Amino acid sequence: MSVTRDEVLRIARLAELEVDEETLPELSEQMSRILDYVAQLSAVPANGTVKIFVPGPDAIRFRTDEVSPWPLAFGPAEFAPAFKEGFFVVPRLDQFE
Amino acid sequence: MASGWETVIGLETHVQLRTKSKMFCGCSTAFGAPPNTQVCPVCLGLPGALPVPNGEAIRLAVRAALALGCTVHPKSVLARKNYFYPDLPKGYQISQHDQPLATSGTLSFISPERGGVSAGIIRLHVEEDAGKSIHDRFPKATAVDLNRSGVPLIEIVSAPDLRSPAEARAYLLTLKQQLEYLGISDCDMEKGSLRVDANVSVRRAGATELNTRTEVKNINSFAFVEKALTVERDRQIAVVESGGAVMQQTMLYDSKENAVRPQRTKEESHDYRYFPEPDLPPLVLTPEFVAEQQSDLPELPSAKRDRFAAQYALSREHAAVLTASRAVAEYYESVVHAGAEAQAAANWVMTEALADAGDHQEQLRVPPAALAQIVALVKGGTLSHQAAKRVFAEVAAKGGDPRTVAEALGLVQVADTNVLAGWVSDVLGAHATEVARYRSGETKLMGFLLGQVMRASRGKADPKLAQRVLEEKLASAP
Repeated sequence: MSVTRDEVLRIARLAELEVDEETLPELSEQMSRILDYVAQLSAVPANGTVKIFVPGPDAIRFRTDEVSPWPLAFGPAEFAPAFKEGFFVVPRLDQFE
Repeated sequence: MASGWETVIGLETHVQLRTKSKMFCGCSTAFGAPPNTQVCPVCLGLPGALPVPNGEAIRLAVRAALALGCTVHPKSVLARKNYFYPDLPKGYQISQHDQPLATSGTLSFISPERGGVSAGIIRLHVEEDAGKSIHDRFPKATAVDLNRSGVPLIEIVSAPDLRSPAEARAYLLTLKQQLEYLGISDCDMEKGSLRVDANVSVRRAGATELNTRTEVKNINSFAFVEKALTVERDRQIAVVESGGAVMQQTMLYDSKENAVRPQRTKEESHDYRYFPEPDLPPLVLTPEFVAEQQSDLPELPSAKRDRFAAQYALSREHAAVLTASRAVAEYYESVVHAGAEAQAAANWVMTEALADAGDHQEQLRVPPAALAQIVALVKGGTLSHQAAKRVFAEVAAKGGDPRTVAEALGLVQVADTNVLAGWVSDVLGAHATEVARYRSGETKLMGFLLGQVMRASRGKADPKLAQRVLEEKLASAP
């Protein structure tokens, strides 16, 4: 399985990431290796008789509906790249210009 | 609308569930808190935080599904819906995809054009809400409040069974009423606890195929549902009639301009790359749990409407008004159970009680037993209807026992014939000319003379009894 240069560019676009031209071959190679590795899963029988591995219990365990927030180590203002008047601030999307 | 066209509408309705805490963390869901004060590592999507589902949210979702006649699946799967947006800090929303909580239900409602209609419910699934983006607070920037991030939601997807904007509104109002009866949400569109996206297409009347549809978003009130869909329907018809073709795209409704405009998005943005949520095992519900929720469902609006009409001999219209909200329906029944005659109680609830509630944040301020007593005081002739309305207003504002309030206000009708006879004699003596004219055949003067008796009694005379005494005196020898 080989991931092409164009596919890497499309994935980058979806992830809204900028990719240098010189990095493209390396990313193609790495992504291909990942997909080849994962492709081994196709060797697993998929006729519905094999139980899917779930890390942990077989079914969701519920929490009771109580307000008991897990505290932040420090407030949003301290870790947000931009924070003003209680809000996170991000560049405005084109569609709202 | 141009003739010869049919509109096809399906609605995707998002409803916030009435829980104290969020879907996957213990943060409060209370509306209106200062921004970003109800957040934690889980709903901020900080590394290493793991979701723990809220059992109450699942219970409410199951109740909604059962009330809509859906099949609730013993096993469903939570999935990640991946997209990039500033108010989605994890980069994905925990939702459900190919194995939703429930499928195949119906919602019956009254269409303004077609009468009784049953719309299919394709699916109902649980998910978490995103945060809120505010685009007009700062110049060139978007403000993000993540208090709403992680609030539990259900999404209810209807089949494309709705045939007009007015019908879509009727469907939505019926759905809202049903969900309010269930107590699972306050369904307040202005607060965003009920939001709707609409899929709209048009076709020639009589055609059966589905044409290319658009999705209309940003509809923020029940009034706008009909307006937004009408604008989009008319736009599509104009496009096709001028030889063009409708493009599949998302349209944003602008309520100020009453117009729709295409949302500028990239083609790939609809690729949500769903996959099962690796941090959560499947959602498994036992048959006992589902059966318990089914048996615990309240009487739903349409059933209550039918029962009220039959049990209390009310018209369909009166039954519909009294069952429009669960609180009013329960109030009405309490008034009847407290001893009021059913139709009289209905009249009082539909007029005085609802008008008072409308002025006081929907609070039904007069206790049911007090209203039943007011109805009885009118029926027994102790209070005139006008006086009873004053007693109602006084009890609503200050409380108290209606009879005591009526006495304190001097509103109790006088039914003592000796007292009435005194007022009648005074009036006959003071209006000798009118009395003579009456006796000579001008019987219409009874109204005038009775009015004078009521005036002399300062409104306290029992009018029926007063008229009888008046007639007797006028019939006797001068």
